Amino acid sequence: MTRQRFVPAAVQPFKPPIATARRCGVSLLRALLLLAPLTLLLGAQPAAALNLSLEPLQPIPEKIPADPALAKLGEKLFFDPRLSADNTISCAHCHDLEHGGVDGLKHSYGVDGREGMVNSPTVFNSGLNFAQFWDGRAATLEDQIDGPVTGHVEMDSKWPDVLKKLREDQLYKQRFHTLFDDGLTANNVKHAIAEFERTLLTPDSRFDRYLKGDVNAINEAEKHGYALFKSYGCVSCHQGRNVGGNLFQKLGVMGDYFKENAMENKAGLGRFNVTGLASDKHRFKVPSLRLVVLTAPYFHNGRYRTLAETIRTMAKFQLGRHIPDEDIRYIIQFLYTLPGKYRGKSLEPKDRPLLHFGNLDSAPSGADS
Amino acid sequence: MNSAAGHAFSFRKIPMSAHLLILMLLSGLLIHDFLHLQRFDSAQLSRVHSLIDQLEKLDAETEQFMLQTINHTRFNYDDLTDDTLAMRDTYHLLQSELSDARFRDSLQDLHDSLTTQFTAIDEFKAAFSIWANSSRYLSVLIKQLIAAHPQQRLMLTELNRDVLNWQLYPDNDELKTQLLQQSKILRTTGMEELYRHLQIILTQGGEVLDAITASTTCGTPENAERLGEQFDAFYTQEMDQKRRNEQTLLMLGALLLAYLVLLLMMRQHDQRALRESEQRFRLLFDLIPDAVGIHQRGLWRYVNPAAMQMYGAKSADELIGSPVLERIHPDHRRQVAERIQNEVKKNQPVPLMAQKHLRIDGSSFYAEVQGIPFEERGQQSIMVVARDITQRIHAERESSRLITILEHTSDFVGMADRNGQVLYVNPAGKSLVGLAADHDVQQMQIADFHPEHETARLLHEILPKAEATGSYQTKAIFKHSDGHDITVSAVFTAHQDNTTGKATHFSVIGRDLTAELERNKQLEHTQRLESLGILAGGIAHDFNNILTAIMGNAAMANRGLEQSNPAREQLARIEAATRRASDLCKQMLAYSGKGRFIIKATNLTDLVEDMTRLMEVSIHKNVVIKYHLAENLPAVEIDTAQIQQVILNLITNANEAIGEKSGVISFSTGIMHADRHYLDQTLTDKPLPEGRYVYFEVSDTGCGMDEQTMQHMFDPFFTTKFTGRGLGMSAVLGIVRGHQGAMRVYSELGKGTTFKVLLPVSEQAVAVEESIDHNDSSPLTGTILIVDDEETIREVAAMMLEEAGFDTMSANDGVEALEVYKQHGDRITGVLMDMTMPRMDGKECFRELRRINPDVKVVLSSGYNEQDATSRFVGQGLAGFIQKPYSPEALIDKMREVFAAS
Repeated sequence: MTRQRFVPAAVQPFKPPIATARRCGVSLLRALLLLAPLTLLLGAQPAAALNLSLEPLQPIPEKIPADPALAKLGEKLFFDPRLSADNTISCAHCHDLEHGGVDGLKHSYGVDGREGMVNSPTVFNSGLNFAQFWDGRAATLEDQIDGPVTGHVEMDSKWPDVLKKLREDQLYKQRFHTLFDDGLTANNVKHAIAEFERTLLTPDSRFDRYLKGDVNAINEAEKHGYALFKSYGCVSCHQGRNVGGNLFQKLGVMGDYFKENAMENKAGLGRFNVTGLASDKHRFKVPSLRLVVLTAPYFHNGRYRTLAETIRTMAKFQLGRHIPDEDIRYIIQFLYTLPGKYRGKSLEPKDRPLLHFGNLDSAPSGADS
Repeated sequence: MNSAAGHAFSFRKIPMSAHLLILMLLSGLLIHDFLHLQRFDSAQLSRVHSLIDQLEKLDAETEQFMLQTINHTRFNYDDLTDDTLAMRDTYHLLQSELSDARFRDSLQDLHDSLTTQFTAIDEFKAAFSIWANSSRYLSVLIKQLIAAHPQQRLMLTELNRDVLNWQLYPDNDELKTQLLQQSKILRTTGMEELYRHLQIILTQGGEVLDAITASTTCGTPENAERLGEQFDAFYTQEMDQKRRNEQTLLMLGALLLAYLVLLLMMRQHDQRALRESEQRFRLLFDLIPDAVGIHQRGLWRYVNPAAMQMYGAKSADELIGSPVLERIHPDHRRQVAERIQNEVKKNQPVPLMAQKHLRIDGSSFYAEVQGIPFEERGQQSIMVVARDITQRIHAERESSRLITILEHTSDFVGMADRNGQVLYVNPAGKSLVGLAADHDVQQMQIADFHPEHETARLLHEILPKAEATGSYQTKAIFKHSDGHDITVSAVFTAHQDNTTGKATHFSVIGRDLTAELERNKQLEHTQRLESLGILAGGIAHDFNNILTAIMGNAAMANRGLEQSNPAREQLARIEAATRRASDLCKQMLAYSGKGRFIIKATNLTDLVEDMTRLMEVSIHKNVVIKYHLAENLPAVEIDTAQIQQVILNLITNANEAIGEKSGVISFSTGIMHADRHYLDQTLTDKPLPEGRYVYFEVSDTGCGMDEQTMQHMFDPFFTTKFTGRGLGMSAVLGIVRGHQGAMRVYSELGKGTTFKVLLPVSEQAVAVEESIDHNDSSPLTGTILIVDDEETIREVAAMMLEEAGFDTMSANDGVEALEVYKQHGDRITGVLMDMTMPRMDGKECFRELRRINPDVKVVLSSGYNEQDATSRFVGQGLAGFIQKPYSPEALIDKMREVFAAS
């Protein structure tokens, strides 16, 4: 992807020789740190048109390069329940494209109604995430597919069985043989599905249009919501083109979240399950907020049914701040501008039920009832 | 060039399979090298280095991005994250690129440094986010707190300043410690929030910087560099190897090419030689005058022009594809078919065989055929060489026929070379000179075949003449093995050598003249005898006429005289003398073969028995006749009188031979079977048929005969008797011959003589003798015309007839007879006509008379025998015949016989 970089005259792009990086960096750091607040202040006020290069959020690209024929095959497989042991569960079961790419459940369930350990993240824009799963254990979309297919509480399949079932289908056989030299293999199935998933982008949201220069794409309240989103610091982690999805962060930066909310299962240990490093305990992949208004319930365990309490909790434990309801509403309004279009159809909901919530101040942490 | 040719020559000796092997080997090495080269990835260098460069670039970028982030010139982690992902991918690409084991450690180092780096970057992102939030909020919070706690404004402001200060010089640990202490105060003053954020700033800030440090010191670029260097070293090695490979490849290629070129050249050469050879052979085939063909499975596949010509085919198509056996004559088809089968089965050539073949037009000819089986491209074929030997066969047959002629000719045929060495003598020749038929003449010389004087003549006269003119005919003397000379009429031929003109061989054809000479002698002898016979016959004939007159007159005179007349005695003597003279004439006639023959089938034994008294009377007292007469002899057709004469002559001679002494005459009759051999040894007129012969044999114990006598015994007028006239034996021989008989003579001086007479057996039964009644005196009437040129005969005949009662008329010759008959023909009862007359002889006159009167009765009279005389009148209605001289009684009898019938 092309990187448009507008570099302010005051700030030179830094290209130090490798060896002297540290020395030079620190001094410069010193110099620029002074300017930091200034910039922030500057960024706090909504300008007439945005300088995209200065924005922490970036528009979703129209496309990620993908093979259309392969994606088409992947789409078929995405909806194919034969991937599951009892032929009832397909990918779409947990990642319903009609439902924002999620199933709307606290935990997903698999074959025989087995309850899963986590809340399913949306499949939309998942190609923009730098890793898959809450603990980032899958580096690529292809790797992610192994999880649900073989997961006991999910599809509970074995690849040989899946392949056997798929081979019986003449269409699959023919298509796979056309597209791949080695025909119908597990890797190729994964490739196909992943390729399809890469096409599940929701570009051209109102907010993206606003980012690209259409000042009237969002209203003032939404703009204000975006400003608050930035000033509160949500944007520190939920940044980039996917409004998140590109770093790991601890849940409970400013307070011990898990002290107050005990883990339901070991999934709560997050990245620690992958690296075993103590510093990775309770570290999760920062989720994308692109379709947050569509993907309730929230958090890795789907604990929070409303976006308002989620925001309140986040502010408390991540920012160490208290966000008043009014600001929450602005932020929510802003968040409603984030869903873009899939196959020409805008995913932004007409109604905004998430805006309607009771007084949260009375409840310090929204308990799930 | 020579060496190359020589090398090529020995090169040639390598079989094709070896060539192929070498080629395959070379090709294999070539391919192997080539693959090796192929494996060499020249792009790998650039790829690896671009990947390493990429890695280093990304590494630098990440650092840059991180710094930019903390410098607040970069506002999200997208690029940083993308780059880390790219670094990870690049590493994977490098890993797959540098799959060789030697890179594993370096790659591992790189991987480790990258892992460290990624972890650091993750830490950075997390820490910075937190730090950035708190940092941002701090000012706001402090402002709020200043507003809420004005008394703390100084502390807070200082704190703010210190914090900012520290953020500029984060390595100022002193300041940090101070801040930490200050933050503790905050806790007690109830500024928990501030405390917390300050803690965050202090800790996370450090962590951010640590993360950056960790990221920059992880050693990724160094590792990448090292990897690069390692790869370069490896690559250089590979390059060298590749270069070596290339060289080897080039060499191999050149070698292969050279080899191929050589092979090709060789092949070209061979091809050309083959083509030439083929052309030559094709030409040969086309030129070979003998017919050559190839057939497979019984069908012609190829025929050369000579074959086409032999079979009379206008084009090869007429023959090719057609069955071989079609060209073989049906007579030989089975044989030839069997022969071909044998050939194929045993896969051996068959020898020359003469076969009868058919041309396209159906005519046949002989061919000498040889077959040679061979395999051609897995197919069993047979090559046939044939030669039209019809001419040769004909020539051979001709030659063999000629040789047969030579072998069978009764002439001597012999051939010798120039040196006198005999090469060939035919069977007749061997027989002539008394050599056995199987005698090997090739050991003999010409001189062996001739008496000495003749050999000389051969050498100096005959053979040179033959050589000069080609052939020379002359009489030559050959020598019999028992020494006697053989006269031969010979043609000597010189066989000339065309080139030198001299004779290489001499041949001779000789006809034995001995027999010829002998025959000539015999002929002369016979001719002489014949002429004598004719003479005798002629004389006898005339004599008979005269005697007829004498006898007739004497008889007539006697009749007229009285019994007592003394002249009667004289007349009787005249009669007797005349009779003796007549006998003599008869003998002479008999000798000349012209005696009167009255043939009757007679039993010889009976005849002899009738004659016994006569025979007894003829012999001396001291001689005894012993009879051995066979019973039941078949009849023989003989003239009784003549045979009697013969017997009497033989008895007389036997008697004479015995002489004064006592002796025995043995007389036997019998029947025998005479074969050729036997008959050849008899005295005959002409060759007699083999068969049954009745014989009588007169054998005496007299003095026998010597050679001389035996030779001349049958000559007329030859006698050993003092009083002999010498006609007896000649008469005997004449009579025997006249009877188609044969005679044999054995004689031994001092011992005796045997005469054996063979007479052919007759089919007829013994004739019953007619008794002629002489006393029949019935009167005869009529007028007889007497025709004879002899006056005396006329007179006598007239006298006889008139006495018998006839009237007579006479004519001198045929002409007169006709005149008389014309005038008085109605009066004339019959004619008595002589055969031989001047002007018109009996035959002609008879014819004329018959014209006048077809029923005229004519009795012929002649001195010749009946058979000879009447033979000319066969079928002409001759009434009768009477032989002169005839007695009156005979005449009357005959007349009665003839006219009594009317």
